[in-house]
Amino acid sequence: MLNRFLQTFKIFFLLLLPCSAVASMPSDTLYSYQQLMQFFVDAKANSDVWRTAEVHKDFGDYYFQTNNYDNSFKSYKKSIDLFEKIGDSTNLYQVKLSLAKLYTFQDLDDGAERLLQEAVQYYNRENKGVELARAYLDLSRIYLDRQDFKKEILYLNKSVNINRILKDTLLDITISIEKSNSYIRLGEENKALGTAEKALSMSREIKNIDFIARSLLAVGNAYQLKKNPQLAIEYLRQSHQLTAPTEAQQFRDIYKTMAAAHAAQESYDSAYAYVNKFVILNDSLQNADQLETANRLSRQYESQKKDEKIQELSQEKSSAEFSVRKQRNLLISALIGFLAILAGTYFIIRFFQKQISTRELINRQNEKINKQKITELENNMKIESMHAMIEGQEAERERVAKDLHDSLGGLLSTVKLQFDSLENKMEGVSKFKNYQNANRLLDTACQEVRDIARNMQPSSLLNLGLVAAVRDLINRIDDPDQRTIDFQHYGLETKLENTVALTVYRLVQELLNNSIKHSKAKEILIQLTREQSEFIIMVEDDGVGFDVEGVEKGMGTENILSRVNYLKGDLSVHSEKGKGTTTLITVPL
Amino acid sequence: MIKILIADDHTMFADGIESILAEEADIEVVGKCYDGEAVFTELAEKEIDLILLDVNLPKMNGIEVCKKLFKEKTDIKVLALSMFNEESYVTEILNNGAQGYILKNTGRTELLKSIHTVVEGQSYFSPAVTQTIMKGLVKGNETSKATNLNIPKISRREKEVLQLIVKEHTTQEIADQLFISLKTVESHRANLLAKLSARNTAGLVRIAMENNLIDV
Repeated sequence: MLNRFLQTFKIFFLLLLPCSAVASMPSDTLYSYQQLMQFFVDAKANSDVWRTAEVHKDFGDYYFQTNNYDNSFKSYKKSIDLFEKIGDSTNLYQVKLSLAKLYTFQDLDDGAERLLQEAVQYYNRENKGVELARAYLDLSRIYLDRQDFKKEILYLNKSVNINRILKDTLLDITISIEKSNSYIRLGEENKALGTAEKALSMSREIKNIDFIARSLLAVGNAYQLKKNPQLAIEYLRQSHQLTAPTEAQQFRDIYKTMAAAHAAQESYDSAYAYVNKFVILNDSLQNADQLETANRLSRQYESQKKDEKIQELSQEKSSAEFSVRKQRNLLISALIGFLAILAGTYFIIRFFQKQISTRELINRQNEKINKQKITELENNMKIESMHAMIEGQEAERERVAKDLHDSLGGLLSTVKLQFDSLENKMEGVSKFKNYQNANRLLDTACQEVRDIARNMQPSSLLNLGLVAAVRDLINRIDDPDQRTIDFQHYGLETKLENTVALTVYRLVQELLNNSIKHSKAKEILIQLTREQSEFIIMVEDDGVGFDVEGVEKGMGTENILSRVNYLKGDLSVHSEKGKGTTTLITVPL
Repeated sequence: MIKILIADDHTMFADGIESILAEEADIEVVGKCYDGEAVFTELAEKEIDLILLDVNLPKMNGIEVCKKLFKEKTDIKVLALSMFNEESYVTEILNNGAQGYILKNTGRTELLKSIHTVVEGQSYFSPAVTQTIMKGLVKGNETSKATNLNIPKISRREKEVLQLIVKEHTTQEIADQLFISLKTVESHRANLLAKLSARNTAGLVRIAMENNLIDV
């Protein structure tokens, strides 16, 4: 009862928490809006341009912190214009650096890079070491964003070199942590650990809690990379204790590594808890739409199947729980019945043994459920990426085919036309061998463009339909062996959806190619049947056949399988040595 | 004087054709247009003998233009002009009323010849197109329904299934005997029903017996 009351109270308290946090935030770090307005009015009244410029910068900072990026941008711009007007370069570049931060924050890396390079030049000229080192550090972060790790390290090192002379400890620590992070990304575990520990000892020296927390996280990450989850967890725990409540990003990073470390220790329960925490924080940090895509991705496929499997497993779990209870009751009544102490002891021992083993069973089931979830997720990702690949490939082929036809094909035809009409203008030109050759080559070029474009994607498929495209495919085959190719189709009068038609076409193409290349068949039969709820493709030849079990997965079979899977269809291949091959594909519509 | 309308969305190509035809004393290019719908606005305004029609026009392709044009009786001739040398395109546009089909890499001499031939009421095809049509005629082994006279070729595997159906085996038995799944048997059966125009298994058996499709 009391417990319940406490919990309700806790939730109530948690609900209050965000409001108070928001209310107190701006005044902690910045001037309030009213204060800024007052400064602004004062500066204007005194016609103090320098002061006005500074107030604009403060406004910029204020808007930045309160997530009002448009206004922040405008204020920084005003400030930059004014500082430029009065020629105060020191402040001008300070504001430019702030603007660069804003750009970076909004993923406008190019703008940020330009500003930072300007600043680097200026600080170089003016010999301003600290600022220069910081600008280099900011630059390195941009390259990190672009995953250009080499440039990242380059600028980090530039920053380090300057700081070797300056000996600014805070900067030193920041750089060390950054460096450690990049070593982790490059997979250099020992270097990562070394720099992280250096950062930690320096932070401890100056007793800066924020930096200690950040360094601890870096050390933890390095240990996780070194496959020492136990130490990683220990450092991360310490980091977690010291991290300030407002550092959401840092918490997120801690949870991420925590989850990985616990998973490495095979304590999946804790790993799951941390994954959840990570996901919740990541949600609030990332864009809502990105999140939506991720969710959809995980929901979309075979969710029904997954649910059924999970349900099945939890049913097993609950029946196991039920049997524990039953066992206990039985044992207690047996104890009362016998009333013999020895026998009692015996049963108590047995009871505990049973309980432990059933608890283990429950744990194992839980683990199974978790693993199941993970493999489901992985499979879904695989399917997604395969679909994306197939769709992307077809879209690209369509584009290239269209470009070839529309631009290159048209151009070549025009050239041919003009060139050929020379004959009319210059008498006797057609007697020249060069002229004849060029004319013939132009024809070949036109023919090539046609062939390449058609192999990319047959335009008859989209314009005239599947039957016409398959008919063209058969007619086009240059077959020295003069095989008979029968083409039968039933119920294809109505048009199929474009992606289905295209995939079916590719399947027929692939199967036909296989048969011609390998089977030595005399007759090939292609059969397309549309039923009410399914589409059947059958390709049969009377060739040499093969051993279905023994066949290795070549490019051809891989392609066929992935396309069948794409259509969620069924593939059945029947073949015997010397008795031909029958391939049957059924696709639900 | 032959009055010609050029319909091609590749402006440079259309201009090239126009400049070549401009040199001919008995030919006059009375208009150019760049999509299928514009063909009909041109037709409403001008007197035209022949359309040089690109098959792959935007908004309304050449085949659709022909369909609409030849719905009513008209003396206008159509000479299809195309990048594609595919049997399906050639057949489709000829079936819809075009008199000739030339490829876009046609030279001046052939272009003039094709125009005159079509205007005189005969058909004209580029040599490569003629080849394509011939190839289609030779290879064309295409069936799309069964008639009393013509039973489509039954595949080897289908024949095995059909034989077992006639012997009154169940789907499960057929699957076991042929080492295939139930679904595969069902698919073969569906194919057989479709190609023999049968409505059920009984019909299938009847047609099989009547036409000696199985070895008893």
